[in-house]
Amino acid sequence: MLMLINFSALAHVAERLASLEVLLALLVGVVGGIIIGALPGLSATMGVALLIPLTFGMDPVAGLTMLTAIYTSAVYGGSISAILIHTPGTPASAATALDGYQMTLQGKGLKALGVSTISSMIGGLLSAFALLLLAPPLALISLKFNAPEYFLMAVFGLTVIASLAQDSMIKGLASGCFGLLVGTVGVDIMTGFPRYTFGFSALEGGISLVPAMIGLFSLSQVMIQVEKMHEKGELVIGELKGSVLLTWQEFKSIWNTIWRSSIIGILIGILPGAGGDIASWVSYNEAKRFSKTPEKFGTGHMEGIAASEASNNAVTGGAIIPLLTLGIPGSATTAVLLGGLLIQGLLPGHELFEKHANITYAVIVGFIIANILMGLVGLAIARYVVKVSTIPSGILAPIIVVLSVVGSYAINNSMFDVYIMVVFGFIGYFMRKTGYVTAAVVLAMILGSMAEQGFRQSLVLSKGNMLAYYFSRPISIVIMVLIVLGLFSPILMKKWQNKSGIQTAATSDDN
Amino acid sequence: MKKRLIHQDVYMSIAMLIFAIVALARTSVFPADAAHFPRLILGLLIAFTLWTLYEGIKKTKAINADGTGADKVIKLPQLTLPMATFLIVVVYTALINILGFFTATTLFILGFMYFYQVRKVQTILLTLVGTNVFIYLLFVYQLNVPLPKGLFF
Repeated sequence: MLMLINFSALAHVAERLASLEVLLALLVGVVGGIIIGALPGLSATMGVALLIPLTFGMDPVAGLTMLTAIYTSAVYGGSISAILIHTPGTPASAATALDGYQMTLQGKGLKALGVSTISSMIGGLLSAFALLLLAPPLALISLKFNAPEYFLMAVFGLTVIASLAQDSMIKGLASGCFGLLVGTVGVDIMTGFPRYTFGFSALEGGISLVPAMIGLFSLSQVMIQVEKMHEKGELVIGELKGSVLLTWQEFKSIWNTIWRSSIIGILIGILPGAGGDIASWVSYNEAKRFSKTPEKFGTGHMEGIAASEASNNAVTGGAIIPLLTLGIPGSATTAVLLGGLLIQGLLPGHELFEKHANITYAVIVGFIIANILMGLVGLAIARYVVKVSTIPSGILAPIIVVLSVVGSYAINNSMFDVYIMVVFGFIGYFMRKTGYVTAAVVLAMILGSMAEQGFRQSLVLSKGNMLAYYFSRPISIVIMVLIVLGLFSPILMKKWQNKSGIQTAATSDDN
Repeated sequence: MKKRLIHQDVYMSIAMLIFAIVALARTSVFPADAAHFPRLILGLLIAFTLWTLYEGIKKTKAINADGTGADKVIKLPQLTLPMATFLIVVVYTALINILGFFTATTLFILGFMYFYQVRKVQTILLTLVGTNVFIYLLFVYQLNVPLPKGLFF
């Protein structure tokens, strides 16, 4: 695996990262991500979607490093409010709240924050190294891909939709179909015919992905939050005493849990669709099984926090692996990150590790640095960041709307994109209220054109006999098996969750 | 007389069916090559939507028979605030081209915070000024985004 790393590109990484723009982007990504994650109601997915427009004018390394830093930091940030106010900032921190808040009630809130920060940092770091080692060899496989394989990979990516919708697979698939249909809007490349443009020239280029994403995630969230406008209730922050740093004994006692949970997180992250919330619960249960004191879980046990946090941050690097190598997002947030890649003109696959190796390796190393920075910044500011969770929605909501408007406008300097954002906000609200999956729409919009192009080219290459053509190609057969497994894995996953008594969010829209 | 409840899946499915059928009808003007893929997708969408409609009808029957799942039904009053929010956002975006981005944004923040029952003048002013300054510095000054100018600034 080491031999497949492009060391000459790696050697230029320091050059690319040592710029003020990149360093600022890292800092903004880490601090911004922690704050976004700590705010209940916001999520890593929403944060990345809102900030993608900012990266349009940035250097690709700076832009993508910022987005990956936001991703990993937001996942960690969710633990702050989970521990201190028993309100997980993101679904991935729900397991953390079990022991974290108990520790706060016992006056050990700072210690709990310390455990969470160190575990998240190590989990994220290990997954970043996994990304560095595993991504290059996996990218080589994509060299052997042709039209049939690209079509099947798009279909496989779309089966991810089935696993994103944990509540109803049919609704998830319907959401995906809606996304695929949205992807057909515009001038058809092969025939030059304008599909579903209704005479609007602005639609001939298709529906812009980023405004649609911002509408589906951010504006819809504002509309959902406003339902709770009249709910009164003060958030009480638990008293913070003691030290945030762990003693050597304390660190030794959770080291095995961190290591085990990180591996689990990386593997689950690589699986398309399974995100931080699943990883944190799986690791929590495994930690309980392996623990010498399982009865202490749920009463304020450090191992419980370590398991959940190491795992949910380890998912981040794992989920980026299939994204960069095969264009298949490993989670809802990476589906949105894919949009960020495309904006920079970067296509996932072997090209990223050959032609654009300088950028790709710089982003991966930037991701490693982001995880370290997240740990250091987290230790310093976590106790203060929780105050951000008490900001009323009446202040946050208009700010999010304004950012959504300006972010959508900034892509093409066009008000039409703002209108697209508003329309998709409306659609996203009703989809989320009725159990449909907005992440599936985004994924389908991205993969749809790859699917259609691959399908039509395969039709030509196979001279009408598609089935025989696909079965004559070994890689195609492997992908078809993966598609079948992908369709059945949510059912198996649900059975496993029911057996273990794990409760996860209804959809994996938020990570 | 007990009010009959209808599960939201029924409404959503009917709306999606109408959308899918209209979109399918539209493909009749596409050239054959360009129509294949949309028709395949719409066929699948119609199939999934019919299944969801069937499930929705089953849930509706269960709700009205013994109240199972009645707490999960979305009622019209629940939609009032979100729809009001949506309308406010629509008015805001319409005003941008007329009044200019910053003027429209100022009015929007004032109006939306008032709608959200924020009454502290300090808080409103801080949010207003802070947001406008942040947007100006980042998007106009740093990223050179030409935000719409209207009658005013």
